[in-house]
Amino acid sequence: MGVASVPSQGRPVGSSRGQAARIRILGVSHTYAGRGMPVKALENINLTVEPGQFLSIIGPSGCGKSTLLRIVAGLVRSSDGEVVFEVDSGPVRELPGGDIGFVFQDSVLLPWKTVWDNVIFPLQVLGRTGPQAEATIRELLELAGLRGFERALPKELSGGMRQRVSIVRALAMEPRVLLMDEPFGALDALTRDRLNIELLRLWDQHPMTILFVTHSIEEAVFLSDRVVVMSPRPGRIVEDLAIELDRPRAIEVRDEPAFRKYVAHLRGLLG
Amino acid sequence: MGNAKAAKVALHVGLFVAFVAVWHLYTVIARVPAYLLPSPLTVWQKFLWTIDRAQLARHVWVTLEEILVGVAIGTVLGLVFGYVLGKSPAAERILSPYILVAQTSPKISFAPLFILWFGLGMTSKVVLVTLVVFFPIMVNGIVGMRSVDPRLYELMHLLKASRWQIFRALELPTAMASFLAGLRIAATQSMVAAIIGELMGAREGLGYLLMLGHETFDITLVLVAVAVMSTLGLVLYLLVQQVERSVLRWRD
Repeated sequence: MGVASVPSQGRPVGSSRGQAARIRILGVSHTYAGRGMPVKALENINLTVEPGQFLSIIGPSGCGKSTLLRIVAGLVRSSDGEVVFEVDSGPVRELPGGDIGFVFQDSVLLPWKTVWDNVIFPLQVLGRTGPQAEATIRELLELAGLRGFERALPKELSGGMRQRVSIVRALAMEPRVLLMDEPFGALDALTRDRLNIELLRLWDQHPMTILFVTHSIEEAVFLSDRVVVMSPRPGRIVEDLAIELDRPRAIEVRDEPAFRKYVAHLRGLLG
Repeated sequence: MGNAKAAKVALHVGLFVAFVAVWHLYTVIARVPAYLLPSPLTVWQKFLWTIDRAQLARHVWVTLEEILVGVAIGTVLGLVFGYVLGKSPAAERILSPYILVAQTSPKISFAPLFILWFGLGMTSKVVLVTLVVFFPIMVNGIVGMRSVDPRLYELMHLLKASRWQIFRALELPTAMASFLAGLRIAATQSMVAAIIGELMGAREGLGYLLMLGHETFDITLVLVAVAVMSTLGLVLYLLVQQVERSVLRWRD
């Protein structure tokens, strides 16, 4: 497990279905009405995420990271500013169904469906099932170490396995954008390390633009091409750091001086 | 495993036999007059006589039909209202005082009115059963709709799922657990409603048989009716329980 590494580089930007999208976050601010005083969660966020890029957002609790993710997903309408996606056909405000995958902190599965049925479910909703989709799912389950568990119910799996199912479910529809809100936050350190490696491997085979929210500086540096640091509420971007570590990255990368330097720099900012 | 189950069945049978034996011995030893408490043998003979001469099967069928039709209508109406009110908290807030009154009022007390409005036939009983079934189904439907994980709604939103897809794939299965709990209550209540309706005025049905026994001082007939009703109620309950078990196998 310790020597696990990510295979080949030189990944093409685009999956079998369509290109990864560029995300442009333009002057987004958000204020929660709430009871009593309105709460300003985000202030003038400007950020462009390149197609196929892995970008992590870190910041103190309540800095609006999750809110930003939900605004990008279109689940929350921002008070100000806008989000534009640039795909092969040009810029759009809203991507078609299934082009955005979302992974929550804990697995949000349908408890009455088996692993297989949970994973194929979004494709059924989208009307995109077929032999090719099933082949993709089989491959993803294999990559995520879930082979042999296709007929299991969520209640029969560990927390880590359930989370892998929800990641595979998001990837199975081959989204252009994958939004992950502290997806490994509830897992133990060992499981987390393993899933980090697996996520990179899946991303390598199924390229997409990933926005990843986390509390862990090490996790952000390990996974990302870029790490964005946000200030306490109201959230503003205070640092945008390119992580120039070679890929594929093995877990040992974390012992390298360059890795430690990035971490120390970011820790200093979060003080 | 098999042995334990056999032992359990043997225990139940033994208890039942013991109960009947005690009952029989009591009527013999204490010389209880038959018009107060007939012996089990007498009741059994009366049961056979009722099948043969008093069309017991027809009475059972009438009551069962009232229950089944009433439960079907009450369930459909309860689900429709449960869905609408579960979806619209505003509508629920406006209607909640009425729902509360309707829920706490003994709906059985409508029986004389329904007999007056809908006659001595099956309709009045079906309406009463519908009324009794409607509320637990609706209330449990609302609870079920509210228990959908909001993040699942968000995932459906990201898939641009239609309202029907959301209902079919998300809301219906989620609400199934509390719906079936409601149905279990409704099944028991529906039996009571049908019988009370028949007691108030009917020309057939198990309630009618009970009333007939009462009015002709035929306590043996009363006991036969009670036994048949109890069995019917038990069967209905077990039926719902079985459905519940097979549908909700995914739960812990």
